Amino acid sequence: MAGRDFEVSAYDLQSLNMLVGLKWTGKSHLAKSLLLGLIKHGGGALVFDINDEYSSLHLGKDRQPRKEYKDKVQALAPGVNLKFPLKAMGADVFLNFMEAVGVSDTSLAALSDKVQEIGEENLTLSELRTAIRSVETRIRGALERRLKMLEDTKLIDDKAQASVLEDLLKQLDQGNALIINLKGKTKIAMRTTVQVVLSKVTRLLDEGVLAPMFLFAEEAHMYAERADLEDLVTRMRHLGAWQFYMTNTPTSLPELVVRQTDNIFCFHLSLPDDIRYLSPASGMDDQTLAKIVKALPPRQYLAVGRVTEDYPFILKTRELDVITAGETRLRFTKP
Amino acid sequence: MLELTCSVPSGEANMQLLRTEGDFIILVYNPAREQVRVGESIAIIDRRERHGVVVQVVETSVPDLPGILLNIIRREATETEVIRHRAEDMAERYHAVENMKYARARIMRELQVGAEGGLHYERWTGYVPSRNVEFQTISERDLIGALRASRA
Repeated sequence: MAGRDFEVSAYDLQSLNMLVGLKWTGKSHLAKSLLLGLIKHGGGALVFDINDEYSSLHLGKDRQPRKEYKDKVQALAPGVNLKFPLKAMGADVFLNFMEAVGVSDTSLAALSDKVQEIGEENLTLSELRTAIRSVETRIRGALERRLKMLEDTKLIDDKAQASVLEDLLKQLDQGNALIINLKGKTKIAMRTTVQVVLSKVTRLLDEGVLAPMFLFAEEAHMYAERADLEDLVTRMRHLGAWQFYMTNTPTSLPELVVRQTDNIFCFHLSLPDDIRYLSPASGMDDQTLAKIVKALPPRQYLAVGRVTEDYPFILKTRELDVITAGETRLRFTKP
Repeated sequence: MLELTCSVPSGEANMQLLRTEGDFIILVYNPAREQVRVGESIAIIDRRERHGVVVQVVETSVPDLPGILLNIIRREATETEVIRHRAEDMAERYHAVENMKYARARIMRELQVGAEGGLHYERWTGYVPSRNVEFQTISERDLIGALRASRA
């Protein structure tokens, strides 16, 4: 049967949204469809893309730029065309990074003192290296190794303008999509990039410099801790960062995220634990939800929440005339 | 507005209300005449009471009445073709009964039929219709339109 349009208001997507389902069922396709709809309506969006699936969304199937999305999608590769000076990272995020890569409390305290001595405005990798020469040898060795790890991410460029991130993020106000391509990055590089970008977005939203925007996070557990996600959900939605979480592992998201979800788009799921975990967001008991989502064929999904007046609808993904898949390198090209 | 895609059309449906279980209604239908899909919404309207409910199908199954089950087991256990000593129309009727289907549907909203025949969607209050009812499938577009109108 041919599909017919089912319209949802972008207004109702200004909320916490979750797209879940097993691999290859269509959740990323729907996320792209929603993203393109938001761009078309002037809603700026920041996308954390772990599989490089969003960078070519402005291109038609003929690989030519589509008129309506031309100059609307910008792909940023951390360490390539997304670099920032250490001072733009901020002392808090920098110290968080050092803690995450295993710097002990004692070393962290010594480092924190050095950061304060230098001052956030003058913070550079070379200033830090000079400053830690005066700490005791055992601590110095540990700190130097961790600074090398940060350097290896290629994210830090102390010659870059301090405002480089702000200038990029201000594109969101023009209704553009900024795609942060995390494909192939180490966990440390992913986590650092996301923390730096989100801390900058939070500040700009808080200061009213940036208009409310949308955030798309694919498999967020791969680059954000549960506590960070909880903070994101409770704090950023009040600042005007409306979020979409896409995952095939719903239990990887904190329970708070599930309970706060306003719209859920659920593709085929089969594991009882996943279904039980999601049922509070669907407004259904887990047995009823299980009967519905287990029966969903690929490219069909259950939509329920503000966008559907809290009524559960079974909908289909629609064809998109843009490049939606990432490039997968295959050794065998035929079954 | 952003566009997604849906596929169920609105129209009359031919089925029977078998029983209710809390906020679930069990419908029985002949799959040769009706196609019922999980997720589909059906309005069940008692015209006399001008009242009804909207249900959503969450599961379809086949009847497990003892007579039917026993007959299936007998048929499988018998090595040779069973010779039925029944009138032809009785055999057909029996076959049709055996092939009926159930739909388990959850009550989602209550309906009030307006003076002009229009349907008003309300929160379910616990009302269940009698068995003297009409069935109507509701398309997703009609349903979301009505739900949005009732919010406004």
